[in-house]
Amino acid sequence: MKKKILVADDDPALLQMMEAVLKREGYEVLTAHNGQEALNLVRQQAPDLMILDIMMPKMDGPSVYSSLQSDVTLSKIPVIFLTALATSNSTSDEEGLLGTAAIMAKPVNHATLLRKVSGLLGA
Amino acid sequence: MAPGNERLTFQYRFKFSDGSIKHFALHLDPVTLGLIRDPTPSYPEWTRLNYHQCPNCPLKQETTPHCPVAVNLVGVVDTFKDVLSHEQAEVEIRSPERTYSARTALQTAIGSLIGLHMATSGCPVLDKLRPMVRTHLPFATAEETMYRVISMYLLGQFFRYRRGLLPDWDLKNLVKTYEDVQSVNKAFVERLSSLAIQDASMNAVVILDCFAATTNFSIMSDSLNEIEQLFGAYLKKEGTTGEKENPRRG
Repeated sequence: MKKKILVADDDPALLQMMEAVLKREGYEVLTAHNGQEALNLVRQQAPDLMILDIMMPKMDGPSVYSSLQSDVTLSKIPVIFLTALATSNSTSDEEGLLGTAAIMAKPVNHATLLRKVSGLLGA
Repeated sequence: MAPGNERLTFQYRFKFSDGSIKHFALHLDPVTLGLIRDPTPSYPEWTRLNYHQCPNCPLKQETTPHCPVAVNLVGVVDTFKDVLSHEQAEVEIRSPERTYSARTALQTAIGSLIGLHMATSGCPVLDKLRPMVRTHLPFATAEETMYRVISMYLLGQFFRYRRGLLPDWDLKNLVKTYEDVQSVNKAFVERLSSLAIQDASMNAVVILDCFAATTNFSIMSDSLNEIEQLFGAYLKKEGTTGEKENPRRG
């Protein structure tokens, strides 16, 4: 059964690109254009992984993440946060931790993304 | 600039939600399509060539002390330093031929503006995108950009062929070109991220990078097949010139 990944970002170009890359690897991809839409989709579809932009309209990525922490099942969904502000001290795809979630710098490198996704899904 | 050749001007007008308005006018040399800059006495530190210099930059600090892209973008970055990428604005863009307007996320409009500044800057890596400036398409989608990029590239190959140079009909060198462009995008986001500014300009470059990534992904994953069906009129065994079918490539 295909693993289901939710990608939420207000940039349609980034959503489209990530959807294409992840689908090609055999994942089912759900997309959301803002945090509220993402939260609704997570509650309806319970994806196996969430990729959330940190700064989004209506509700930012960390708020989506926080809103799920009171739910026993949904709080266990692994998260990757995306941000263009994360590269200040890095020369490559710097990854860090915000709580238990991974952070990935934009622009997103496809190989790094797929490696991180695969690792978090235990694939 | 040759006498009688008028410079090419693109005007961007941003109307923000608080009612304030900001204008940008880009004047280009009509022959080289290079940006005509007003003389500036000094540039900020972050424009220095060796400040988060792109790993594939062929320029040398001794001869080019400032990054040409950064120098072009000082005004843009300063204007949008306190702006969030998803804030909405009414944006009007006047090209020599027509006017485009949209209410859109600022990152989308700033992406168009930054893309124009980058391609006209004189950056040796981004110079290969410069022919597209003449038909600048604001608010473009990834598909529109991919179509324009590949069209531009193939036209370039036709001109090479006509001059007796080896053409690259397989788009192999376009993939390499866009990998280089992506290196520039990434390094430039790092350059901007080091400044105490909001994310609008960074995400604008990220959008440009997505366009580059989409183009390369489409070429490498054979996604162009989806477009091929639009070209049925060109894919008959005998072309409009009556020529016989040729082998695929030499």
